[in-house]
Order: sequence, then structure tokens, then C-alpha cells
Amino acid sequence: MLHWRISRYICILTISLVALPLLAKDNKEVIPKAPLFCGVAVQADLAGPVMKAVGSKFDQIEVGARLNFRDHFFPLCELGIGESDREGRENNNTFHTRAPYFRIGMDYNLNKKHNGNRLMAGVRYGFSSFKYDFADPDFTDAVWGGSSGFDMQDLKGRMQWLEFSVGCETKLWSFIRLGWNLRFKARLHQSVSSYGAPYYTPGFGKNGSSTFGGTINLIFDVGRTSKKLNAKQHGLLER
Amino acid sequence: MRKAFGIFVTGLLMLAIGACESIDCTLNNVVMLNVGFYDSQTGNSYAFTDTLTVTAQGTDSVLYNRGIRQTAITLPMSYWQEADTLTFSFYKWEYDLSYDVVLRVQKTNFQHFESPDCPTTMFHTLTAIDYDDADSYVDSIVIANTAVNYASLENIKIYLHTDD
Repeated sequence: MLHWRISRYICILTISLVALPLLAKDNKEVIPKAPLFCGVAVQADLAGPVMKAVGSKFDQIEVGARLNFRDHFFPLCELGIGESDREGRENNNTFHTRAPYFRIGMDYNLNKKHNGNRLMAGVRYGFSSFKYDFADPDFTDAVWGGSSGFDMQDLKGRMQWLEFSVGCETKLWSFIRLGWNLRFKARLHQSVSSYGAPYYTPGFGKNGSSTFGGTINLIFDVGRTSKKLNAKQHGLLER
Repeated sequence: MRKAFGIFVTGLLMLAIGACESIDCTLNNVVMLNVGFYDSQTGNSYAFTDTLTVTAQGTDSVLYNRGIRQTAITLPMSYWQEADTLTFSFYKWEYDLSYDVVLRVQKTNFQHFESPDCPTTMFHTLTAIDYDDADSYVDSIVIANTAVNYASLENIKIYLHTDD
């Protein structure tokens, strides 16, 4: 089932990457070629603080940086701190973790025009090494009796995963952009305590073989080359 | 600016939809010792014909009450003891006779959890068994699988004399 979903996702991405530029070939409009290096951007995720503010079961604070080549290729890295404090709905079980995570990868801009709007498809590799706590204060033996509670501290976990993303972004003002992306995350490898797997993995989300996630990014273009690209977009520079 | 606002709201809506969650605890969340009964001569699964009751030291609870014609039964295990002493009482109605087989199961216990929403439990690993059978009702008892967990595999095989 998982392989089928991953395969379908990869097929859609591949077809999108190949077919969309071919379809655009019929357009006779001459599009200015962007410089090889178009600058650097830094970004911050707005969804994490919103999730924390509304009391979500887990949240994250995430920032990232990316390079811009030809306004199409965006190698990037992202790092953040994921956190979860969770109580059982119908019991007194508690789960806690707070740890950093890292991602590297690349986005590809499917929009051939350099008009400030970008339709992005991308892939990322994520990694997190973390500790987690789990407690059940009501843990009792119903037949023989006796209770010693259940309080596991600092259980070690580690996970690697792949993310396939689609999203879009637009220019808010000058060098400031806003965008969102949706991500399908597939677990590659997981190492957890023999007592049990974590409910949440920082950066990945709710633990499982796969999950969905997303970010809403506030992006700041920095560097002189991005200004050059802006000027070129408006025909102020020679092609 | 309107376009940017649209993008922001769309992103929030999609994340909100993705945040919907259901509880997905393991359906088979009962950890029991699985005991199978076999014919000592043929080695085939055997439905015992005498009424069986199982009790244990350290608890007043009857673990298995007056069952008959079963090829397998499941029994709870203690969470904290290093060994459980189980008494299998086979009762022959026609002769009004009872045969007791006392089984000692040594084990290690380790706690296990799935999710904050799911019940926590205790898994066990069987390390050794021995038994007292004054009436030679049983031919032999062996460990088939040491892991007592959600997998519910057969853990102990009891070979009964079936020729009488």
C-alpha cells in the first residue's frame, strides 16, 4: 500500500516536471532567461506558531534557507524544533518530546515566467534524533493486583524520512514572499525503544509509515542577484 | 495582496484538514498466554474431554473456568512476578475424579505502549517451564514460542495422554 502511494506520488511529480514544460513550448512568448545564480532566501514557517497557539497536539518552530539557480532550481535546507505534549483522550497517559530536526532537498519551480509567482514541486530528506517520555500513572495488574505505575523517561528514537512536496508562493512586497506547500512524508528508517514507538517524531509528524504535512512560509529574498532578476523581469536589463 | 491572502488562507485550510486525526490503537490489544493441547501419541491438536479449570497462586481469580472440548485456551499472566504458578485441574465427571497439573512459568516482564490514546500493557518473554503431575495425566509440556505479546502466537504446548 505504501509503495503504491509513493509510486503514484513519484509518477505525478515526474509527469508534472516533464509534461508542463513541454506544454509550455507552444507558447510563442519569449521568456527572459534568469541568471545562473539568482540569490539566497531565508524562510520561516508560520504554521508551527499557529499550531502552538491553538493548542495542537504537536507543533514546530522551523526556519530554512535556500539558493536560487535560474529561478527554477532551489537547493535548500530546513531545521526546526518539534514538540509534542499529549494526553490520552480517555486515560491519563502522557507523551512528551522536544527535539531538533533537519531536512535537505530541492524545490523546482514549474512556472516558466519570472513574474514573482512560483509553482513548486520538491523532494526532501529529513532526519531527527530525539528522546521521548511516556507515562501511565494508572498502570495496574487487574488479575494479580499491584501497581508500580509506568514512567519511561528519555527513551531514544531516531528516524529518517523522505518528503515529496507541492506548493506555491507569491511576492508580497519587494523581497518578501508568502507561500505554502503540502508534503507527503514516507518513513525510510526508524529506531525506537523496545518499550514502544513515539507518538510523534519531530519534523515528521504523527508516527507511522507515512503521513501528510505542510508549511506556510514567509520568505525573504536576500542578495544582489535577486534584485537583478527583479529588474530583468521588468525588462530593465538586456536579455 | 489579495492573492497573497488567498494563498495564506488556502494553506491554513489544507493544514487544518490534514490535522484531522483518528485513534488507531491495535485492535488485538489483549496480551495472554496461549496454551494448546495435543495428543501425545499422534502429535495432533486435541480437544480435551475432561472439564478444565485453571487457577493461580497469588490471586483468587479463576483464570479459566470449567471449559471442555477445547483445543486451546488463553490465560492472563501476572505483571510483576518473575514466575507464575498455574494449577490445571482436569475433572472427570463420570468417575468424580480430579487431576491437578501444576505448571510453573518463569518469565521476564516489560511494559509496552502504543500511543497515549491506547491502553498500556505488559509483554512477557518465557524463560523456562516445569511442572508437577502426580497422576501422570500429562505426557510433556514444551515452550512453542517465548514471546507473549499482541501477536497471540501459541506459547505452550501440553501433550496429554489420550489412551485412557
